[in-house]
This record gives sequence, C-alpha cells and structure tokens, in this order.
Amino acid sequence: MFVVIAGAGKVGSNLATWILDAGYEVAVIDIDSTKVRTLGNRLGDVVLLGDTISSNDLERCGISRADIFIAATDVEDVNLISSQVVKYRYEVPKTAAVVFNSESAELFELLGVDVVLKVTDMIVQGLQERLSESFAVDL
Amino acid sequence: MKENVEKSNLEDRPTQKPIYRAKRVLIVGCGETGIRVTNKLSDSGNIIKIMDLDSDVFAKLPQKRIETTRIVPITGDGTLERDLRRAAAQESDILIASTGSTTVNLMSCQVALHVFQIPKVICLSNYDYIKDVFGSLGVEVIVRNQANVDAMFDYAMM
Repeated sequence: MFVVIAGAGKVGSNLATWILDAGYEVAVIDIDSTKVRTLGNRLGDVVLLGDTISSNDLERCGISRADIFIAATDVEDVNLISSQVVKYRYEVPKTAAVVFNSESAELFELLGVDVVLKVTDMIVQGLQERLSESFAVDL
Repeated sequence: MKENVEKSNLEDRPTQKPIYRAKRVLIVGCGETGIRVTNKLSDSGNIIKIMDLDSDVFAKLPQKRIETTRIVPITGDGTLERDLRRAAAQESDILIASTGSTTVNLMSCQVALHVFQIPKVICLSNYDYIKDVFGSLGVEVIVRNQANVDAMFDYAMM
C-alpha cells in the first residue's frame, strides 16, 4: 500500500513515521523547505519539497499509483482542493482531509472527500469529556 | 403637461447597454484583478458586492459608487458560509473568486454553488489543469494571464 501525505507539519510527520513503521510505502509533500528538511533528515528521500496543488509536483511523488491520499496541511482550502484534485484527476481510491472549521466539514463531505477529520471538534469534545468532572453542570 | 415632462425625462435617461440585464455580482478578493473586474462590471450597471479579509484594500474602489451603494464592500472570508451569508450570497446571480490563492477561489466557488446555489461561479486559477478537473464540477475556471478580466466579464454577461 502506498500513502501520499500533503503537509509535513506535526500531523503529517507523525502519520508518515507511523505508516513507515507499519511497513507501508509513503511520500510526504510540503511547500515549506524548513519542514521538508527537518522531516527529511529523519525519514529520508520520501519527503519532497513541492506545491500540493501543482500537478507536476503531485506526479513527482507518484500520486497516480497512490492508494490513499491524506491532506494534512494547516491550510483548510488547500486540504479540500488537493483532495478533490487527487480524487478526480488521479483517481486515488481513498482521500482524507483535516478540517479546522467544523462549519466546513459538511462541505468537504459533500464534495467527495472520503474521510473528514474535524480536529477542532475532536479537541473540544476530548476536553469536555475529560474536564466534565470540574464543572458542576453538564456542558 | 407635468406627466409629459416626466415621461420625457425618463426617455432622456442614459440607457444601459440593452443586451445586458443588471446582475448582482459577488466578488471575492479585492486585489488588482478584483478591482478591475468590479469597475468593469459596475460601469455596465451591475450591482457589486466585494469581499476581502482586509478592509484597507477597499480604499482603492471608486468611493462615489460605494456611497451610492452601487458597490458594497464587505469584510470577510469568502470561503466561509457565515461570511458569505452576510454578503447575501443567496441573492447573487454570479460569484467571481479572484483572490491570489487558487485554492481559496475554488473553495469559495464551491460553497457558492452547493450552499447558496449561485447559478454561475467563476474562479481565477494560477494552474492550467484546474480547468479540466473543476470545469466538470460546475466551476468556470479562468487561468490567470489569459486576458482574464475580459474573459470573466464576457462569461458573467453571457
């Protein structure tokens, strides 16, 4: 299985490490050369410097043979559009995207992103569950 | 007699170009392209709402038309449903996304299409191939440097 990850930030780099450790093939693409260098030092040449929306750069990481694409940059619109591009242009069977605005999550789903990760909601829910004892009334 | 005077006044009014009906156009991004397309569409009698994150850029718009509300500037994020709703997106005939970011433009266009059912959405893109992908998804993509203001105008008025 081959996974392409957009974004070499905290989410992208931890995910890539985990997938490599699990014995699968991975490629990470990010436009920020500092992030690429930092992660590249750890993971080697599977980390590429490039623009997630550029067809040339996507093809350079082998997008056409990818099984899963995960858009995990910190820019929501980039995550949405790159997921759509890989789904409709490169016919990647499964796409996942990180979304920060819970308001936009529904749109991502509507527009064909297979897995939508609402990180803000996850954090808020997690905190509500774990801090619920500190509050006298249910939130 | 008075009636006649009024009538002739009406007839004397400068007529707008008859082939176009005035449209309500929502423009996202008040950069160079956004301003040029705003001016051109406003010149031919259309009602323009223009949205940008930065309210300072609205100073470059013709202030006279802002005073007469022919051009309405709105500070907000064109990819967010709630900000577009503030601009009465559901009542717009056309949305033109002209920011410098192709992804912002595409997201804005798709919110307009699917949430607000705006019948015509136009997106400025820095990438050629985007046309193939999003053209079939209902977004009219205009690639930058392709005489884009004229192209957007022609398509909006079609």
